[in-house]
Amino acid sequence: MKQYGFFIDSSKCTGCKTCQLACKDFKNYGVEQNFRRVYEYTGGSWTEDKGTYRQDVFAYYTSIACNHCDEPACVKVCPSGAMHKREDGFVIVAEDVCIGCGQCANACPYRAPQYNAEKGHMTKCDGCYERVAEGLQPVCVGSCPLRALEFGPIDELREKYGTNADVAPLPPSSITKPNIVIKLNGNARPTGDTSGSIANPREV
Amino acid sequence: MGLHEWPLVLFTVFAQTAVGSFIVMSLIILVNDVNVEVKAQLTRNMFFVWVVMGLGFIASTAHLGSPLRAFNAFNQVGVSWLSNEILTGMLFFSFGGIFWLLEVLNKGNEMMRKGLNMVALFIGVIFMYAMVNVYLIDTVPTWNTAYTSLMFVLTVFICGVMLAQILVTTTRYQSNQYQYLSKVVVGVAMVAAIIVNMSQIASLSGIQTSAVAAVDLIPNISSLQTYRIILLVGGVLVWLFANKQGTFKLPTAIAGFGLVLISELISRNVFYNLHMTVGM
Repeated sequence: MKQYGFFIDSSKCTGCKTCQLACKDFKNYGVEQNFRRVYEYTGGSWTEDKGTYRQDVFAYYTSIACNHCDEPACVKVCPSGAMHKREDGFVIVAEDVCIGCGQCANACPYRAPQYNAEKGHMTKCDGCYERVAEGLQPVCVGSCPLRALEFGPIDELREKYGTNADVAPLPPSSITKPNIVIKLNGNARPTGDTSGSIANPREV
Repeated sequence: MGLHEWPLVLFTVFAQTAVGSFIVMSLIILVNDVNVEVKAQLTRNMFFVWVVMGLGFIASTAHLGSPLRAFNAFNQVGVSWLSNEILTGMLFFSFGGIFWLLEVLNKGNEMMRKGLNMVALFIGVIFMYAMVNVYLIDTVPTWNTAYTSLMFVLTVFICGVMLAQILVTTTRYQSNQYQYLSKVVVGVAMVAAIIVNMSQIASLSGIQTSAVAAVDLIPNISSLQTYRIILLVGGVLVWLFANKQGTFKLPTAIAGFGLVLISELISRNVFYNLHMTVGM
């Protein structure tokens, strides 16, 4: 089986959200859906050092869509079989089968499946598999002005950039085996870190 | 606290109530050698079990974004616990309903009806097992705990046994042993539910990700569960009072059961609002 994946360069990402909007524009959906979301993880405080106080605030961005996991939590719980992993490795929802129960959204720790109230069923990032089949890039990847996103066969991406898929606020990659590689930001905190928080909860 | 999952709040509590009371009433019919008249009264009152179950199923369809495609929910039987839940729920409703209909209409032979009753009983238990497993999702740390299983089972015991007691006591079936047992089961389950609620609140402080701390999910969880416990204990006391000394006061018993039902619905809504994932 083929498996594509995303490379996310968190050291380059400035949190401009062009990827998020390019996706929204291309897929033509409203404000409720955000197949790709840019998480701003931030924290820090004042620390005393020999009588002087210094701040250690930090912030960094992680652009996350569906990671087309090897062990997708959404597929395991879906009662209709609408949520499935394709031969090319993309995890997609068959929108003509989905009953809109939302159990996939309950299970996914990356918030990939999203309910569309107008359509009455779930929707999610499909990796732009139709574009990929034509030899094109997913629309988010091509839109990134910082070149912080890359797309390709996950083996090649891992060979080029290593295998890291863990960083706060993402869940441990061991759980669903996401097909992403993340280059860490200088401020990156490890998965499970609780010293910071998501600064833009209403945007994601 | 959101009410967005109200269809599932109603469905799970009503289904657990229906299955619990069906089990109790079936056992009375199957185990005891009740006479024809009493049996007819018991099955007549069992009508209300199916009303409760039916209301639960009607509520559950409101949970679907595309209810007309509801049959697709059976596609993943054996793979998805949600499919298993819906299948066993429908089978419970079907077998139990057919049994009840044959019994009321006095059609079919005794053996067949007994068989249907036992099958429905068995499927009802599996239905409850499946329902718990729907929520034991390994990426949902606040649901994937023993508290979920305990709370769901305790609702079967509390609401199921109470509803059955009301439906049974309004027939001519007389058994001090049964009455005593009902009170003991409800009392013990009530105490267990209070312990489970309190330990669950205490356990939340240990569940935290970079994005969410479980204690922040429902800031007023302690007061909500306090109201729930007051309603639960109050409802059980009213129900016990209704059963005091020989004469059974039906309206009072129903009022007690109603308070307990409201208490269970609050507790279940708390449960749904405790949803979070291991991620963001």
